[in-house]
Amino acid sequence: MGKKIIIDPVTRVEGHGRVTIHLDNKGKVDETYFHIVEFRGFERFIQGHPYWQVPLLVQRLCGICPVSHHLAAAKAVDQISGLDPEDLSPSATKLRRLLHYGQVFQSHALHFFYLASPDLLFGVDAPPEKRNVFAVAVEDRELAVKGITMRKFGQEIIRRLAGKRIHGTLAVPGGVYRAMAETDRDYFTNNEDIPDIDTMIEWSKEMVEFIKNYHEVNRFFLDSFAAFPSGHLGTVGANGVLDLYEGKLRAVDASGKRTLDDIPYNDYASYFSEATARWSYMKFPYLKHLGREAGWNRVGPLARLNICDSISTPLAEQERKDFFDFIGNSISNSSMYSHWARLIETLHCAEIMKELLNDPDILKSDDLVREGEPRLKGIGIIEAPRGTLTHDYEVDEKGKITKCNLIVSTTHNNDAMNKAVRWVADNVISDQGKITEGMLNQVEVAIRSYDPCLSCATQSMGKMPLKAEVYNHDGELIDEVSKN
Amino acid sequence: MENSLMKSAKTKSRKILLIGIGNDSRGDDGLGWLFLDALKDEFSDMMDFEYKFQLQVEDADLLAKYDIVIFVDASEKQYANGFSIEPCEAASEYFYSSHLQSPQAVLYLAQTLYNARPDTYLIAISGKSWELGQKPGKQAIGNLKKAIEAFRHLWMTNQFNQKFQSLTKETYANV
Repeated sequence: MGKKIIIDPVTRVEGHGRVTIHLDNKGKVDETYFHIVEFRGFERFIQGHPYWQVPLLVQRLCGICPVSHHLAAAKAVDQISGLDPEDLSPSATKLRRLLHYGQVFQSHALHFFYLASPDLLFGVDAPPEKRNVFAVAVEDRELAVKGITMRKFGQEIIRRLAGKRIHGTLAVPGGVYRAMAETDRDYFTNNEDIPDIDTMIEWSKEMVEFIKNYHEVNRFFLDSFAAFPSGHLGTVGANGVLDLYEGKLRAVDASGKRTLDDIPYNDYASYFSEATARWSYMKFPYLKHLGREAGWNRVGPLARLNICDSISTPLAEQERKDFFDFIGNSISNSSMYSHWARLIETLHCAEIMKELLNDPDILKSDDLVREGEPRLKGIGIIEAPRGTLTHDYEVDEKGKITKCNLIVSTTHNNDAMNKAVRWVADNVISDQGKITEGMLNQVEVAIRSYDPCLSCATQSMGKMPLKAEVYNHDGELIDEVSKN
Repeated sequence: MENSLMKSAKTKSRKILLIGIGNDSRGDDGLGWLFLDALKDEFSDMMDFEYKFQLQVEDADLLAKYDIVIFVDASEKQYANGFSIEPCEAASEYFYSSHLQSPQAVLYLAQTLYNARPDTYLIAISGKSWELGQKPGKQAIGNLKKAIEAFRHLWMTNQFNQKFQSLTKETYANV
């Protein structure tokens, strides 16, 4: 008797997704799908709005990474205003960078402490009541407090630059509307109201040590779980250095060979295409010259670590070297190594924030906005917490948006997440007879390693039941596994 | 009115936080924020005000800084008097999304992580319509006004400082 297993919704991810696993009459996996069943459609309804509104409007794509959308749109709108990235004032660029690194810092902290750490602390087959941040709080109070404080630190960077923790505003066409106040800068450096930036660096180092030790102990599981070959995509700065704000697009294949060689961001459309599937609202981007089957790439922390030649900050650079020494290769294709890469980036963000907080340019309120000769097109690409994010706009002579194309980070990971689901289905669920809740959680663990933001990827909101159902070949419900 | 309010505030120097939860773009879901709007000028010297779309894990850190926390939220439940005011008890009830937690859950985290035990209350105001782009309904506004008057009464009689000791649970909805 054939079965269909549904996990709906996938938990501890941002947004709502659903997994179905089809088993044949002998209990072997036949097909697997990671469906994104929400739809919002910003690309369409942004049309007709004046271009300068876009950095404000597109933030509503997401409540977790609105800053990424704000800044990617702002970079595109700069060009419509006639300015390339190098035309902005140093103060404006540094303030935007500080906003961005603050956001990546808080987003990575959220993912590791709130979403991923329960799996790592209690095991992927732990009882559901243990797999949440409440259990982490009881089990390891210090870890939980540090996690919450690190997230708060990043959110305060955002709030003090953009006015609000969520959906604030800093960037305007051609720059930023305000500098950082000295009292706000001191808030992060005087260790009075909140642990200071040096403490954030120390705690970030501790978290990297934690995950390194975890890999030492659990190496076999982490090396093999949801491991599969793929391409890796991201942006790199000058000399191939990791740069989350500005750079050229680079991709490598599963062996580390270059498949996209530092192309300018505004030439992305020459290299990328997007496929669709009837069972998901999320698209499947791929490199045209490699084709649909071979041209897809992972994005995000692991991909960025795989493609860059170095990291500009000393502590994170040492951790990058240790990472590749540990795996004994120049590239990792193991999904679970994303957590380690994410924590190295967290440390990098803390180091960058310290550099910027100590830079007097962020306090200068002159020369914050520049003007140029208006253009009809603008493209902004940024490395969002979850990977490469592209905003592409065209406007008419009156400056109204006529076309909008968004390639959101999670969309790039669509193929990878589907591969990860298939891996768990084949290696954990297939031929097992009784399907347990712990097995189903492993499907989610694989997806969760990509930190998907499903609302961003399709731009939507929803409300769904929290259960998994098993159907027989005739569509009859024969088993049910609750996620709560 | 003002003298009584100030007198009530001066009798105790406890830090008080009023949290409105909701979204004023979604019909009656904006009742929590409207409650704060109505009291902000009048009470701003006596307590802090926070507007929240949703409660999140890190709000435990915020709660830990106060002696009294009062949550105000719209409710699908239809109370006889249009609203309810009750003490809020901590509960370990994690919601699967990281950015939508209950007052009880955030209070639990404040206790567990920061050993903070603020006196906590939940004001629930009955609503019916939650559609995007709508304003609150007439009945919901009526319920809001009743809840505001009840809050003023409780404040002037110093009930929040006395942990509602003179009121039984059944009477909270009918103050």
